[in-house]
Amino acid sequence: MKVLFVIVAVLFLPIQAQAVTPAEDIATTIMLRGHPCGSAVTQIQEQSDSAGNRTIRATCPNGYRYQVDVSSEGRVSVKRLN
Amino acid sequence: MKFLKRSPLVMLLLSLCLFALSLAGCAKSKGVLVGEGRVVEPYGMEQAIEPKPVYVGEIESSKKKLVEENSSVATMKPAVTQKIEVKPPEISMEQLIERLKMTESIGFLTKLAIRSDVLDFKQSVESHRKRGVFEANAKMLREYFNGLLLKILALLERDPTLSRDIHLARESIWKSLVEAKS
Repeated sequence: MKVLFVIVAVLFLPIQAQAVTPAEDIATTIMLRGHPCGSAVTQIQEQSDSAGNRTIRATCPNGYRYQVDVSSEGRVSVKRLN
Repeated sequence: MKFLKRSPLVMLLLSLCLFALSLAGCAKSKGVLVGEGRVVEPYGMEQAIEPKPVYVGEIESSKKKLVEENSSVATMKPAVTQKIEVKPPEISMEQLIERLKMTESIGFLTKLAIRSDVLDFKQSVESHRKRGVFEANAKMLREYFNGLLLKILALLERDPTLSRDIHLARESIWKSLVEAKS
């Protein structure tokens, strides 16, 4: 039974490893806009307004804090906070 | 016969004559034919009886023919040559966009950011076209497009199949983004 469990876990490990975490996703978005950041962000704060605009604040491993704005049309912009 | 028995000298002369005749016959059968200074030995009795002359010119021409045949074999080309052209697979833009939407190697926010970049690029192309300076700035726009594509390919590190397909279809992607809308 233990052996079967290990085999199933090993089979599903790579599939789970392919998915991107929200922290990695935000960090990649920040870097795509030309700002320095590490592989994953921390201290994520998220809020949205009635118009459908989203604002995400997160801190990169280098200490910089960024705000990611996503408009209701799907446009993404990044600005540094500190 | 009595005469023969009585004169051994005559017998001796007769035997000498027979020996001489046999020698002459042997010499004729092993006869040597000389044609234009070259000696050709016969290889059978029939040849010895009716020898055919062989000339040096004929031998040289046969040698030349043999050399030509050998050289033609060495330089022989295959009769059928096939040209193998590697063509990129036909991938539709709709399929690529759908696969980009579905891939798990890029996060949702990152996909939105890429979409924003592509839309900005399309707007830039359209504005260049309206002002009539597209051809002049085509190289710059292509460089920007290459950079954008490189970003996407780098993000697709965990989805190598989609990355490869996008790389192969880069020319058709460029055409679809740049082609004039009438």
